[in-house]
Amino acid sequence: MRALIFWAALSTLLSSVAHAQTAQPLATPHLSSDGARTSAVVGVGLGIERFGAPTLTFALAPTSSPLSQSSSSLVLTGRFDSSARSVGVGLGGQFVQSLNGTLFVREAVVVQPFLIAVDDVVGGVRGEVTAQIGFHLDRFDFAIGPRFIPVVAVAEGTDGRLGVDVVGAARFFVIDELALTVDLGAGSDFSHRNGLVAGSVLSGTAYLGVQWAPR
Amino acid sequence: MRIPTAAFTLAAFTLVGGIGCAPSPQTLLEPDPARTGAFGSDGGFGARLLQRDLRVRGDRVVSVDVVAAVDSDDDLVRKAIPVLLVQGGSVPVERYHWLAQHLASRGAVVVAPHFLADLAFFDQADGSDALAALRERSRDDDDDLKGTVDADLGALAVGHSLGGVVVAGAFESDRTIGAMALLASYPDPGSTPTRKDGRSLLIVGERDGLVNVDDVKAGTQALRSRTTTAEVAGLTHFQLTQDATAAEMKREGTTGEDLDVVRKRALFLLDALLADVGGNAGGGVVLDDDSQWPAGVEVLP
Repeated sequence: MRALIFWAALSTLLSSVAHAQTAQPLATPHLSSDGARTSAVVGVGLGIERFGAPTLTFALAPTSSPLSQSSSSLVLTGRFDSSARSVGVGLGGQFVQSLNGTLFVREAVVVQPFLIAVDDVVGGVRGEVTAQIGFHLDRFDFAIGPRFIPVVAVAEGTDGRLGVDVVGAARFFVIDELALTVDLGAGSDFSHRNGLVAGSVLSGTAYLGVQWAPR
Repeated sequence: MRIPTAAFTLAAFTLVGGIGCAPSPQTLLEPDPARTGAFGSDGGFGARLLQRDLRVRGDRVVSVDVVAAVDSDDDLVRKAIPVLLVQGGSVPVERYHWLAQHLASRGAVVVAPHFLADLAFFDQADGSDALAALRERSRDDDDDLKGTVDADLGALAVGHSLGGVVVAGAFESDRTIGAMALLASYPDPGSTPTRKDGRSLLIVGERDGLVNVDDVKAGTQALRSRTTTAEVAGLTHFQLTQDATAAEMKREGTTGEDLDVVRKRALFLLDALLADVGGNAGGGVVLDDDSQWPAGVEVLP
């Protein structure tokens, strides 16, 4: 019964969010006037994948510069998918290239080993490769681009999928230290069976995140 | 990379599981050896519903209804014929339990995925993947479904309406499926089937208000596999589902014939195909010889 109440509460909470996806590694935060300064950005997101049950994600990105400046940083991510009953912790990096102070390009790669507990407890690896072009305007950032999500799990045999979608992100800085981010993505999962493409699966993502950069 | 340690498993389930325990198995039909199992009628096995989540494509989950055959000792029948059942558009899986129960009574283990929004075209790979996951569960010594699937048999894939379109795609690409039955359905006209092995069966109701007989004929002509196409007298589209709504009945009108009678006609050839898939050559003979078909079941040229 408690599980039902939990689901009902979460479903109600998230009913306004369409469909969803995992956390992206956080982009470099927008920091105010004094520019470059080392900080650790922590983000937490809650979303829905493929109209499924909630997925909780977090990301940690040590960084040293505002969005209007080019930067590269390590990213630590975590993911708890309550639908797939999986947990994963990943490590990766991101690269932000400012083009003219307003436009920027962002690339991110994360490799995330995971455990999934459906029927059996099985291990696997999930990758995420994102390339986006972004636009910075005052307290807003917008970015859009393709994302590739290869997933491999190893149980009795090996199985997996390749997720391909286009993901857009909008981020609003409430204050310099705190940003709200919404990611929306749509695409397909592709899988392989018996030497043939078994079919594609629509994939939708919606994700609401909070990012905090302590000064 | 399977993690066998019991303690770790417990910890992992505590962390990420424990949220949705599977419902208890439910008896849909009691076994009765007195049932003869003539084509079109229930067989002697019982049927038990098990609701499961199956892992597919690495980290995806498909919720399925598994309806398994039960013997007179109340045990799940081992080495049953694997059947994939795909729901029609916007028709919940529960409304096909009557059909899954019938097939289980004849020695099948039926897996019916719950598709997103009850629309099978969203997740077209879920059918094949659920079938593969069922086979894997059957090979697992620790699973309730251990041994239920006859690994030597190709599966029968059955789809109603929109589900038939998806099943036709799965049949084309998945060689673990040995035969398909499209109920009130036909392959996607935009597809080009190339598969020549296996068997196909298309059944359309004479009173079907949604599917045009000419479309079924055209779909038959596109298939390359050995195909049987039949029209069932008096059968409507939604008589292949249980608990048809008033709106559905109004949409098609009433057939005027007893539901059990028209369903029995429709099931006659489906049962013959199931027998053929299960290794009973008599099933194939019946499919190929319409003189053995009952009244009310006519071959479509």
